[in-house]
Amino acid sequence: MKLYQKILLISVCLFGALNLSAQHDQLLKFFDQFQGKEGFTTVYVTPKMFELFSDIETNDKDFNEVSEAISMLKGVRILVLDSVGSLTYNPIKLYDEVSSAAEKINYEELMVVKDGNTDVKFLIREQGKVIEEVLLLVGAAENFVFISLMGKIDLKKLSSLSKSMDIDGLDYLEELEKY
Amino acid sequence: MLTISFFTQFAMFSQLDFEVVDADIFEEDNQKTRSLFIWVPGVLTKGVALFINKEEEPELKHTLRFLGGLRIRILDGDANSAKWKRKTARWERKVKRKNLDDLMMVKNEDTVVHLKAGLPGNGKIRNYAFLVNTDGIAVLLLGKSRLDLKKLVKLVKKVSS
Repeated sequence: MKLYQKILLISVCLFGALNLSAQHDQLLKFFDQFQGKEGFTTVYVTPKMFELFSDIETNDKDFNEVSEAISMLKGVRILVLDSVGSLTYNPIKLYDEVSSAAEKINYEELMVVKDGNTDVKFLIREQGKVIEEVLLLVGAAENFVFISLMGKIDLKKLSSLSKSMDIDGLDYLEELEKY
Repeated sequence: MLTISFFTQFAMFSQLDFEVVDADIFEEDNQKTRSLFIWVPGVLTKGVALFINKEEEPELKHTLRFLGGLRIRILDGDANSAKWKRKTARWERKVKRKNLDDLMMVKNEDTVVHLKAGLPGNGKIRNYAFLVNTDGIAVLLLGKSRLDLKKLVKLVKKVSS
């Protein structure tokens, strides 16, 4: 392979990687944009927290199951809009905006659940055959939930997280058992 | 003789600790913003651990034994006052100097919660900091410990069940 071909190949790979990273950054920007704003609550669980729990080995079967699920995670970001008493943002509109934006930037739709007036959408971002991010969007008349789970994710193990982490919105992960 | 000498020393030491605890509940220099500092010495939690049965509550005994000293700072009053800003900035610098790893952050309109810990990588928690800043009250909890995470998880599970 000639030198200019090598340079071209490296540039293509580099731009590809930068492009993927930029796509992911777009959603991070969305997360940052609403941080601390009226009606919004954000939670960020860092990779260090997951590392901490993945190191623990016990004889407890339930704990080991959860620990296995946790060990594949590299971070969780949660954004919740509770619009009771606040009309600044429309939860349904936000849900539509985020889901269409995510689909535009290589997030694939995995599952949609309609539960009464609540819409729940699961989206995934894959790298090769590995799921690197799962997005969970919940849209209803009075609230909007955006959850991003990052890491090397096995969907079968993910549902066990909802039982261990008592966080609003994560209970929808149980829907993945049906998938 | 040895036992009497040990208990005399222990009693003197614990009296000294309580004096410090009482003396450190201080400061009311500003009508709008008041601050409070509470120091719970490690020897106190260790002392409590002595009365817990190892067979019945092994995790609780371990947690109290290795919990170490706690420093709690509380700020109450006007979040826009100069004193509030100065104190919370000082707290943040204090936590930053300890080089702790971020574990979790929660933020909403008027509340910020930070959980940080120093993790040497042997399954133990060395230092930890818990910072809550809301509209009207702020709390900084700093502690040094040798807590075994495995036992702490067992204790949390036991308590929650």
